[in-house]
Amino acid sequence: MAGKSKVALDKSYLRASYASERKQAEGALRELEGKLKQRLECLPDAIYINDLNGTFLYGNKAAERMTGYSREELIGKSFLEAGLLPPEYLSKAARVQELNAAGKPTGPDEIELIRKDGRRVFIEISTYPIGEGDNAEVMGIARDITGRKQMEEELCESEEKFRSVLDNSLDMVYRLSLETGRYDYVSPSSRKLLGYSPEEFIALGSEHATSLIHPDDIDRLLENVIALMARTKQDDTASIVEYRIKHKELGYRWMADNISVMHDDSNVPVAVVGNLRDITEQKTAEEELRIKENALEHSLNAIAMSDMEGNITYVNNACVEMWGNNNKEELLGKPYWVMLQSNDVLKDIVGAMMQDQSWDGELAAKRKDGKELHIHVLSGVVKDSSGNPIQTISAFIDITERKEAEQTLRESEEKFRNLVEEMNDGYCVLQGSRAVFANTRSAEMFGYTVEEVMGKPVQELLPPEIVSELWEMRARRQRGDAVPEQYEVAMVRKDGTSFTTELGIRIIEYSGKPALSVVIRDVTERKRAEEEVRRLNEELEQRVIERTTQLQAVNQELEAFAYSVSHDLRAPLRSIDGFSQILLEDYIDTLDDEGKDYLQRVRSASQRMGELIDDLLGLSRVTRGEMLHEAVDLSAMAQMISTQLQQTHPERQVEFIITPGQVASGDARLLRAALENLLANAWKFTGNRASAKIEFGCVDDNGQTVYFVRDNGVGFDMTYVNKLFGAFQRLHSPSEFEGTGIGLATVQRIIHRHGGDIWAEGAVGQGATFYFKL
Amino acid sequence: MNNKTILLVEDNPDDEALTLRALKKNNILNEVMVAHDGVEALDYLFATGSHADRDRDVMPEVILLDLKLPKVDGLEVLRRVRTDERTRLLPIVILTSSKEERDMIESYSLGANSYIRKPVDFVQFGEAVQQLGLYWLVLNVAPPRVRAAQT
Repeated sequence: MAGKSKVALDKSYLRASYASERKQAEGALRELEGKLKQRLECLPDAIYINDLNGTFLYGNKAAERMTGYSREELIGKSFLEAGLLPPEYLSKAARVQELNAAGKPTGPDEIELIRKDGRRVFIEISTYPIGEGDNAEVMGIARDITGRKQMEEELCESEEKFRSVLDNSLDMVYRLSLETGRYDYVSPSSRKLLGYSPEEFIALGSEHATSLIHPDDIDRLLENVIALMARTKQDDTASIVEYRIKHKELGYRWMADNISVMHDDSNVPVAVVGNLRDITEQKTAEEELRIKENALEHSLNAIAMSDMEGNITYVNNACVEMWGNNNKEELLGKPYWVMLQSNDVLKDIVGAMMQDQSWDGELAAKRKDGKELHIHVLSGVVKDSSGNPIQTISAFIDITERKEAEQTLRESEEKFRNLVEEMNDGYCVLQGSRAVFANTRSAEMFGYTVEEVMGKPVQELLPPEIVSELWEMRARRQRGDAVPEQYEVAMVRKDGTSFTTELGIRIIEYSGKPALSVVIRDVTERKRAEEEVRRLNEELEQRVIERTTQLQAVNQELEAFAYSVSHDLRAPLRSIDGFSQILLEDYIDTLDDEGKDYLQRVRSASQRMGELIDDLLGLSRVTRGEMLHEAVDLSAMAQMISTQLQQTHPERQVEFIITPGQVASGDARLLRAALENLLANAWKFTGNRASAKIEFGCVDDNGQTVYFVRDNGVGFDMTYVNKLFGAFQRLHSPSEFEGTGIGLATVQRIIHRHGGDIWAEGAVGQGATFYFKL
Repeated sequence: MNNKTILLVEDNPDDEALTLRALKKNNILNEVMVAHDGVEALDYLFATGSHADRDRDVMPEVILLDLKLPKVDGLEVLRRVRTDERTRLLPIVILTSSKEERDMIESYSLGANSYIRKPVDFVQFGEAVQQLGLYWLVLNVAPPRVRAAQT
């Protein structure tokens, strides 16, 4: 209020003073005014002059445009009087006035003016004091800055708008100044994405922030950033890099960072701006998808997918393999039935799926190579989020082996069922005390039908004493005592007759529960047969004893007989021979030649009989007596016999050819007798040969050694070969060759006793060969 | 030579006659005592029974013993002779028809000194007897006479 009255006072003073001076300076002023006025009017800025009280003395054209008032309306009035100044600027105006009064300029200051039309305009104003003392004036220069202000305001608003966008973005935006190496902006989402507030993150600095990046990713990230920096402003300077960065609390998170590099006008990179988005879930989902796809691909089950037209869109390896295709390309894009061959059922499946149905079942199919397959098919339709079918998916499981196994099992089961039904033994399965299975035979055996037996407790079918015996056995079995798996039990039929059975009992599992498997064999007949066999055996033994005794008696008799023959039969012969000889000696004179000849005949007959007896005894000796088995050197034996023969008949020239070292297994005494006979035979029948030759050797006959004695004697007619080995059989008369005809029979008996064989080959006049093997 | 006695144990009279003739024919003139069975042979040797009164110090130079004898057979005689101190060293020649192996084995086992089989041919028999006599009565040195134990 005080200020106001002072201004009013000054104004009236100024007015009076200005009027008094005016006349003196009028001429000069007018001249100056004319020039200045012209120039001032041209300026775009408003120029005005006022006195120290603020009363306008002058205003140019621009001032008129700025205020909306004409100069006439303003000159002589102060700011206040003209109503130009809004009240909020009054204090500021007073301050300017004070400074101006002290001779000091002000500004530029921004203030508002109220125009004549009431609009407010922003102006930038500077004041300059001109002159001193009472003549001092103030020149003001003002510029309308409303446009700029508006722009600034709009800019501010826009910035605010964008900031709010950034602040509310789910992504985290950051700006890294390349000049300072510091983050100069980090959006608030940093808290959500990384667990740091923007301030915290900025405080971390770029170095620390880089250390949060996963070591596996850091190089890739830096490479990208460096590449971006090398680009110019005109290039595309943005690139999305995916990397892991460590959340303050949650560990590493996957981020997609849309990075761009800011360049200044001279293409120097000044900042890196990034936009981080958390893609961890997406990554996880991708990974999961990848794993699932991998699982699908490597599934042992064949899997195929098709579009809704039935064209194959996916097959896994197992699928290619199962259907006998060479590669996926053979199937992809082809209709389903290319893979499924011409199987009608499979067409039905595809049809069902086209109609948005699923299919689950087993069927027989053919591979590409024609091989039969049994498969289990599970088919279904995949729908999109709005429920429209988009794909079919089928899994095929090769169940050929299982089918075959089932078939085998079925056949096997049938075989066993038939076996169980047709076997002559009774078979039943007991669970608890009830029969849960019984074959027909088992029921028949006891005089029941299967229906009567099934499900009945055993005690209803059998008399109590037998049941208690069975139960006793079962109790022992359950206690773990050693119980025979098979034992005999006397049973009673429904009609009360009894019979003997043999039970074979084992503990088995039947329908998942422990049970007794019981095989019942009617052994009545067998028992009877066994009894019969035992009786027969006893009889037989008795008979054997009797026979043996008889045989022993016969043997003893035979021995006694042979002994008697040996002793007694020869005694009379000796008498006959002896007394005949005495007659010949003592009564030689009373006998004529004929008598002497008769006596000689008596003698030779008795001597011949002596030989016969001796040979017969020899033959019987070969048959009797025990045989030894030892290694016998036949060659050495033959050699010894040949030497003896030579010594007995030194006058004969006989060549012996004996293959050495032939050793056989047998009874030495008997083999010696055989060889003696054979060699003596050969010796005898070569008697009339000038150069006799006797050979002993062996040949191989299919791995068996065959010995032979060969001579070049008189031989024999093969017609009579079968008579050679008979006792007392002779092919030559005694006048030709002496002998009893028992020698070869003895040899044959010896060879036979060794389990061997003997045969002969020969021809009349061409010698004979006797072969034998042992 | 004359005081050497031969004991011939032979049941067959023909064989006895033939043997005696063969001895005589071969100039073996020693006294031949003939026993016709085993019992008689033993009686003679041990001076018992029918020979109880004979001089028991006189023993035969050789015994020609047949195996098949009535009453007590030759092997039994042999066994008894060999088990008795007085007779166990006496030379005994088995003179038999038997060619049975077991007879030979048994005889030698029981201590026979020789085993001769009588041939049917009387000429051969004669030769055998000659050699027998020559050997046992001339060549062979008899064991020292054992004095009978006085009972």
